[in-house]
Amino acid sequence: MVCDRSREQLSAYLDGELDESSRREVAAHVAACRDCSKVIDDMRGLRASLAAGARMRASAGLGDRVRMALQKETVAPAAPVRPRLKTSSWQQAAAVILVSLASASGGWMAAMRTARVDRIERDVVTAHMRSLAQGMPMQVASNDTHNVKPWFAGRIDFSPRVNNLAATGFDLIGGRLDFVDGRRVSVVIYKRRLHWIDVYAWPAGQAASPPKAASSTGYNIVSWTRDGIAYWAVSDLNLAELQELPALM
Amino acid sequence: MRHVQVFEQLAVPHMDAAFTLAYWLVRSRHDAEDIVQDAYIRAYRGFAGFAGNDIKPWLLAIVRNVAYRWLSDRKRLSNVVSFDEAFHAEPGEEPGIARIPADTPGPEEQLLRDGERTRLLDALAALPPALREVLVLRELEELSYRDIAGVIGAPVGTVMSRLARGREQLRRVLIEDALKEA
Repeated sequence: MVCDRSREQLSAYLDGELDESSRREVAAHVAACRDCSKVIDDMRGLRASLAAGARMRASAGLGDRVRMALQKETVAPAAPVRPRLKTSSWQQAAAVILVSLASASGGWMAAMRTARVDRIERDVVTAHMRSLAQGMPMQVASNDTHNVKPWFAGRIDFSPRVNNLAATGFDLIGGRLDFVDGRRVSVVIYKRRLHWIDVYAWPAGQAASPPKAASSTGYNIVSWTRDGIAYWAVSDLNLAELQELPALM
Repeated sequence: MRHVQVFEQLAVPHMDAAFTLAYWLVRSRHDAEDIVQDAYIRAYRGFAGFAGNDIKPWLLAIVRNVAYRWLSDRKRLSNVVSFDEAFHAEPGEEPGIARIPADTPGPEEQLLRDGERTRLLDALAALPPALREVLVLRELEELSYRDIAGVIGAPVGTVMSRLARGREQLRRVLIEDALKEA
């Protein structure tokens, strides 16, 4: 008869990720259960083999190449960087464009929509990074929605949600105006622990859409539409927590 | 500029970790190095936004993002080339995905006998990426569940279940291999 103790629990025990009382309970069980000690031993063996054989070391030149590239950044920053794929002929390149347009659902319109979403994604992340580089990323500084919401009313002709979310661990810091995809947008600024969260908003083409998550150059993005307003939340806060926002706002 | 030096001091020590993660995602040394270089530049540009204590998980999240972006670009390209490759692919091999290249590991990497090592690396490479990456982050980079969750952008529960499944799949593959040898 094989023990039906959960592999997840044994796995978490091996990693030292159980709370103290669970850890003690599992340790006692493993000491008495042959099946489970075999599983733990196998997992330990796997760990040892992986650690001994699967680690990779970069070639000697990589460190120098990275350092040189970083030096270039301090002189002439911000040309868009992407590791280039090799297409050997114009025919192949043209074929790629055709295939990627055809395979996206809806064809050409979908490709245009994707290009626009890419632009927006790039703009909100860039704007977010810019704001972080400045000492004071807000034009109105207040944790009171009764100060922040009217500030926007005088400057934009739509009404973004501004909530005080302190009870759920998102501190309202303030707001500012910014530009995304060529238009003026509102930004409501929150903070959770040490992470700044910019929530960009502008009038949308549709009434509502479900939240979507993405990552770009090290920042996480959650976007959604509600009541005719598109929201884009950008932060280096992890996606799991960032995805709490749409439901809270 | 002092800023670059601060970044280098913090980030360069993790270059092998970055390379290991990139390699196990794209399975090509050459491309992994390009990805690491790109990731480091993006990390430097976004450095003002780093507000934590430990740069390693933050850096690895960027490496992962760059690697997945690279993979999806290549997949789009492979829609063109996959017709030819489908003819030559071995059973069970996905067209367009490279096999483990026959690199000669340095002496410090030859800690397992060659046959064992190849079996292990093939088994790891054969795992779905979602399981492979958490194993790399836990067993090779020794990140906590919370840090892994941050790198992959998923809850801790997901990390726990993927680790258990990945370990189980690896275990099964290696046992089957051992039985075949016997």
